[in-house]
Amino acid sequence: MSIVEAIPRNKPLVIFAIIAIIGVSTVPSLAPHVFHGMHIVDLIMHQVGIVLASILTFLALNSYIMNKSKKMIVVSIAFALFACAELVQLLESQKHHVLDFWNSPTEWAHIMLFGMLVLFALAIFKRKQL
Amino acid sequence: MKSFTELRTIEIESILSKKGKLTREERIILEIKNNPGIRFRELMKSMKITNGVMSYYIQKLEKLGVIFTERKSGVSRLFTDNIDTSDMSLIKFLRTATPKKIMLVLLKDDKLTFRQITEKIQMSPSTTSFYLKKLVSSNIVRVSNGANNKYILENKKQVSNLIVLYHPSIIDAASENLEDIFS
Repeated sequence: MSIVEAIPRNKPLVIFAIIAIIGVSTVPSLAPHVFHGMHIVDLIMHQVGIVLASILTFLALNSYIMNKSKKMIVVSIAFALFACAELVQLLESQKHHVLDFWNSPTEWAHIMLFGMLVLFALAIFKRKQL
Repeated sequence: MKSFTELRTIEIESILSKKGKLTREERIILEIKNNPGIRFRELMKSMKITNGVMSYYIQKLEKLGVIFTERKSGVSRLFTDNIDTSDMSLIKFLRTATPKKIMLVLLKDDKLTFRQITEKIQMSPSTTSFYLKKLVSSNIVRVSNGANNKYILENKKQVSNLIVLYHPSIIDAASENLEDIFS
């Protein structure tokens, strides 16, 4: 049993619902900053970070449900905390505009953290051969 | 009589509905149920259990009649007791990459010549021929009589059902990958 087996059979509808929820929650935070130069890049990285960390949280929970390994609960909490941290940073970025993106050490650190999350997600979604 | 799929779902659910951690026996049964036809060594590797310990549990479960081992040409394949014999032979081929590729191309296109199959699966003619002969002798694939010998999958529905059953969704596969990284 896994979460996937419990979701409704109409998968396109589920995928549409997920994309709609992400879109609706993303647009209000991004739309006001579209013309604020590189600030939008910073916000997009936070948004994608939240989505990826949430997916990893979901996968870790799914893994726990499938195999009952307690350490996966710890892993899911860790990713949930990561998602929360990204959310806090996103809210903070709404107030303080990023003026000089490429010369800011904080932004470089942000790019590296973002890269780490993307690479981790890529490694996980790489399919095993039967 | 319940179908194999129904039995599989019911029994897995009865194991998973148990509260707390699963016992080692239950985990072994679950692994075999999820991967029927799994080799002894594959099972050892996936469960991280040593040869001696695994042998002990396999013998114990065999005595209880929960699982059975098929020993053929030096390879031990493990199955649960409720599996159909026709499913069993198909599953064995589905667990091997090249026969699975052959079955997948024959599932997509109804009739294919030997040359078309080798081109589609991108394997050498000798490898393709070796596995095709095995599939034909196991009555999974039949050869049509005609000017050009064409290969046809005998029971398309059964093959597609088994592929769906033992092919994890992308989310389940990713969840397993995630657990592999942290284990």
